[in-house]
Amino acid sequence: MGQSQRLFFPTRQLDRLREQRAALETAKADPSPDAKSPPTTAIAQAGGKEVIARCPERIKRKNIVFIASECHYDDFWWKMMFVAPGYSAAGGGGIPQRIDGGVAAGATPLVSLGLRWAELTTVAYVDQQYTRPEKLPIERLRDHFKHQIVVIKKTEDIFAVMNDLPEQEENGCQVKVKLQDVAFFSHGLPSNITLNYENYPHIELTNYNYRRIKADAFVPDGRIYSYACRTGTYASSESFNNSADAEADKSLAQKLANYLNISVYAFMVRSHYRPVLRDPADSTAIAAALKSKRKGHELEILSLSAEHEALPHPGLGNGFWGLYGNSGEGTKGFALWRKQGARAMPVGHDTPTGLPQDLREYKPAGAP
Amino acid sequence: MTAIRRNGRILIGLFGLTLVLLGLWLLLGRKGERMKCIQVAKADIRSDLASLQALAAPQTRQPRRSVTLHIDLDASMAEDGILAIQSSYQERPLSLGPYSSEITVSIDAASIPADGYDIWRFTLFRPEKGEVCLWPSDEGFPFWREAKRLRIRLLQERQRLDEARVRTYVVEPE
Repeated sequence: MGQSQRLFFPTRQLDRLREQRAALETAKADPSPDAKSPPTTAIAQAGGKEVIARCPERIKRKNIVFIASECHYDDFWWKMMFVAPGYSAAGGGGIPQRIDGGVAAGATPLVSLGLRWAELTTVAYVDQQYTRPEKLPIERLRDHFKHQIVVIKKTEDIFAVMNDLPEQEENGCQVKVKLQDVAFFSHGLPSNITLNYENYPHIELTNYNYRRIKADAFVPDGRIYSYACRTGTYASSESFNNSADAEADKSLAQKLANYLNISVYAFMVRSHYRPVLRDPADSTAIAAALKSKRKGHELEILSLSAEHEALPHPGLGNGFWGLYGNSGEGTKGFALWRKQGARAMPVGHDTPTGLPQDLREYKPAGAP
Repeated sequence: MTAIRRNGRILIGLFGLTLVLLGLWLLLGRKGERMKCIQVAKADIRSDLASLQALAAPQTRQPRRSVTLHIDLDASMAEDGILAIQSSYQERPLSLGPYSSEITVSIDAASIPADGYDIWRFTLFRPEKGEVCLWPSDEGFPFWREAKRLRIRLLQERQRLDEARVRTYVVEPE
């Protein structure tokens, strides 16, 4: 038994080695256009006989959508301002339309058409001060679209998610996983994407920690979209004479572009989320609809119109006894949600003054 | 009978006074929101403090800008608090230690923008109470300009300046 094994396996291995060498030589003589490095090989069964199949280099593309907590405004109108565009960017709400004119003029068509299709999508969110009804859209991305959902609890988790690119095996071949599009829907300060702003722990991607991302994490045409305030600015003033004074070349956006060798899209100004969930002209009607429907249904999801619904969030908002603030307008204790996800992507605000308000592309140093 | 009437008037007066005070509070104080203090597990606070302390690097020979701060903090909070002052331009806190009303902080001059503006965040760790109190800011201040002494008042109530902006501390040259 032992002897037959010793005789059998070396012969078989020799055959395999010969076949592998032949396959490699064939590949060398006739390289396919998409094979940038020597192909690996896989053993497959054909007609009852093992043959060596060539493994072309294949990369699975992965998108990541980061959704921050919202503890700054913390009221009916704004609570879901990050979830809605995150949900749409991950494909949840179909295709939000670009809005021309009004407050959303200048909205870029890039992400407003959704991220580019990818085989893998991860939605990473900060699970702080969201109620269960507010997390239902994220759960839908998992249940309906089979996206991976990751909860971000600390700064290191940002890097863990972005560096989670293990090679996969597919039909006996090794497949690399690389990032394609990464989008951040978050508060931000100059060169600081603050995913848990006005809350604790501080969860931040900054110009001093970004190097914890693997330098080769992205595909060559990879992109980062930051819809946080001022990712493309380094200086912290409120007014500038020109964009050069904002020292964009030292910004987080530029540093990410240089380090990862990709394009980064970011604002120099504050980002403005007002057009994301509602047409501001509809605000009065939305508040009136909630006020009329909430009595006796304080803990229920209330449909306000074909477009909007109110998600229960006890205590959310300010004011009391209906005297002022959210209580006065009848919106306290609920969060506004748009059933189709975002109606538009965030746009640039007019502060700090003296800076361009569009979502700008930061290319790697030396790129044309 | 007279005593009952007198007591009744006093009660009505007290009730009226309460209503007036409530009205004044609603009118004048309604924009104030309590500062944010968050309950955090004591072990997590200790671990976070250890991580911040580990960032404390030896001083380099690079030119530095410095400023002396006079910090006003409510006495009840100051007792057992460890205060971290963090700049937007370095990971290491500018200062980390038991609260002291006067602190001098410095930064590598090359790391700050030419206009001397910075955005600071104050975090008070109270490990014994399992509480972390926050004074973040969205607006810059020229902390690193010529003024060598600044007075900083950490507010007990957040001031909402408009829909977007909230003030949690006030900075004044001394």
